[in-house]
Amino acid sequence: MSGMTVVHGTSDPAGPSGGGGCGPRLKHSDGPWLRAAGGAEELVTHLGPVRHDLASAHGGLRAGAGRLTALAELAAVRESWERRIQAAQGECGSLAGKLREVARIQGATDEAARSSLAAVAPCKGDER
Amino acid sequence: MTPTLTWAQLRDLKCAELEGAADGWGRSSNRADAARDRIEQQLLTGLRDTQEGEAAQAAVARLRQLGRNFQYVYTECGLLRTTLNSLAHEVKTQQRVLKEALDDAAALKFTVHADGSVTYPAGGEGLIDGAPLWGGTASSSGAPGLLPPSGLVAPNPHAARAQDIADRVTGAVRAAAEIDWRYAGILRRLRAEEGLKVPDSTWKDAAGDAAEVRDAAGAYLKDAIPHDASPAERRDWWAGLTQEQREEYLAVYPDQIGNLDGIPALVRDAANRDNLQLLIGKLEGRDDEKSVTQLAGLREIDRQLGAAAKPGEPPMFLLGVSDEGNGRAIVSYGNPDTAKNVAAYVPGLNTSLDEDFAKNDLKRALDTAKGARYHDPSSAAVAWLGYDAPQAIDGLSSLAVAGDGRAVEGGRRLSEFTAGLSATNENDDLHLTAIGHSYGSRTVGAATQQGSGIPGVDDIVLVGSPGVGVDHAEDLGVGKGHVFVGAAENDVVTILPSKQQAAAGVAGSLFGPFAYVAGDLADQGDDDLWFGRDPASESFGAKRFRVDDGPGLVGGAGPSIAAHSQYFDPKRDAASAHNISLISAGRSDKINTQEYR
Repeated sequence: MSGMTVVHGTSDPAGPSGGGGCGPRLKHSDGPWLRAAGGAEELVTHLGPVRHDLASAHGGLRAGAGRLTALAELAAVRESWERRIQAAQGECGSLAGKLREVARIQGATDEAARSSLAAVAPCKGDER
Repeated sequence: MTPTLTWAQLRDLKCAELEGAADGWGRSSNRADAARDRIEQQLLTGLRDTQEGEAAQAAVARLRQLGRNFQYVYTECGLLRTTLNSLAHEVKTQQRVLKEALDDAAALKFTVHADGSVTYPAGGEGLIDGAPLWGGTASSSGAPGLLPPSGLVAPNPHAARAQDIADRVTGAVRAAAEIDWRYAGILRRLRAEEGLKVPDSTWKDAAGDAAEVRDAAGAYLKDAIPHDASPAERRDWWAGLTQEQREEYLAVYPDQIGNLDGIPALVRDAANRDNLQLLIGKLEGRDDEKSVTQLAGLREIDRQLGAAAKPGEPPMFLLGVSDEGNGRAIVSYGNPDTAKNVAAYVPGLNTSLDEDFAKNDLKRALDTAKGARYHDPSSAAVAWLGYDAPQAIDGLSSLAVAGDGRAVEGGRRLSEFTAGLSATNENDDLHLTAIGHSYGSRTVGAATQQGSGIPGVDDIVLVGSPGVGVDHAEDLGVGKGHVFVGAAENDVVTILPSKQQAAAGVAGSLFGPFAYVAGDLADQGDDDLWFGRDPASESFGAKRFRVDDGPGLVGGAGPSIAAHSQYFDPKRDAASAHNISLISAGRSDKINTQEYR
């Protein structure tokens, strides 16, 4: 589906309880979610070459400058950053999946909500 | 130390390999920077601007954290790049020393042994028989130069040369070992912290890392940042650097590049967004009043930078930030390098880097930018807190204490800033307006009195002014018709008495600052204010534009401080805000005027 849909209350089961109020506002459309998911996936690809690039950049060091103790430190430093960047890459992948999931769930919720929308009172300020 | 390093190993070290590794870190740093950029420009913008609800909030929070993570990776990998380049640079210096010593040895046909000792052949003449003296071996056991060759002990002339070579060889190896040891320590502290989060404590460490790398890399990057040059020369210096050099300066000296007039606005903004995080990390956890106050201001600026610009509002550029003095922050709404009209607002009395500045003074620049863009879309406005304004801790009488000093120093810095704007702006016919509010108008006045006047400025706006230090508009150097004054009838600051009047009346000490005002009101017809002639007077000769009278004291008539604070506010003083916008947009022919005092 596409286009903006505004739903209140019913589509947000995690919202705070308590009657009467509007609950947290919910305003979504799946385009931005899917675009963000696509962007996060691109970041996974974007970060892909880092490990290999760093490895090849350090390739000559052992032979060429291996006598420096600084290089022993550098090896540990490189490992720590590879782990950090890999963790970030993992987060991008995980986020991409979750963003897609939100788009999917909210799309389904919209379908369900559409039929009951008439029964939902609009929040103040949203009446047109 | 590395006792195992020999001169042969030092000679054979391939520093190009170190530089190759440095390039690898540079590429990683750039990749992280691009990732952060994409998160902020695309992913975050799309969700934040169009989606509401808890899922969206959670997604935005995670993306924001990821963005900060990439900023941290960018910063630290950039430091690693410079660390390795600097290590290579220093090792190469010692390699050169070594090579010269080895070349000398070869030319003299001396032998340099693995342990650094140098064997020399027989030579010279014996004192008794004139036969050549025995050769021998010189070694450097102590610091170079501590064992001067003695003519009695070693009359063979080769001995002294051999000793010198041995000292140089050993000195180079020792220096290289010390360099190695020092950089090993720096590298150890540049290890990544585990995980994804970047808490303030990590930024604090990152600030320490940058300082350490900067200390170490002093010889490598040299002190090439041209602080003493003009802003135009600095612009040319930056333009002449390679991309790699720029990246290294940004990684190691973000605070200097970010606050340097003459550096392009986009570069300053990028550097200062890093500086902001580093400063927040530095001040976080401190409990002295100044740190707490500045931290609140920095956090508010950070919040605004992170929030999306509202539709139709100009984007925000952080042109300066620092914890120097009472704090510094320079924020532009709209790109000051591409805008045809740029206005710089100089705040005054009682301004410092705090939450109030971050909210209200920035809003004055934003309101001015929005107003000016209505008349000419190619307009930007800057809030310039680039100096220590006087703090009115004890009421308006603080002006007496403040005197001209802050304005003169601030004026010098303001001149440099406007020269920088002129240097980096891409338009041939940039229209530049300096707006001084309160004591800031005195600062603008001081800027005009240095050298050949305030650089690049076409129009000057003075609002809520206690005087500007000169008695005639034409003395400001931009032409009488280009000086504009807004003075609310109820603005207490614009009717402060002159120093002579204040000195004449001891009432000031009895009734506080407002007694000065009472004294002045009793002495109508005098055009002098605290810092010289009232700019709103006819004899001053500026154009007085219409402003609201402002609220009187406690709702009634009479001077008030509230009337001093609304010149920029399009809601509370629409006439004044409108006129300021017109002047800023280069449409001063359209302003509404007001009669002189």
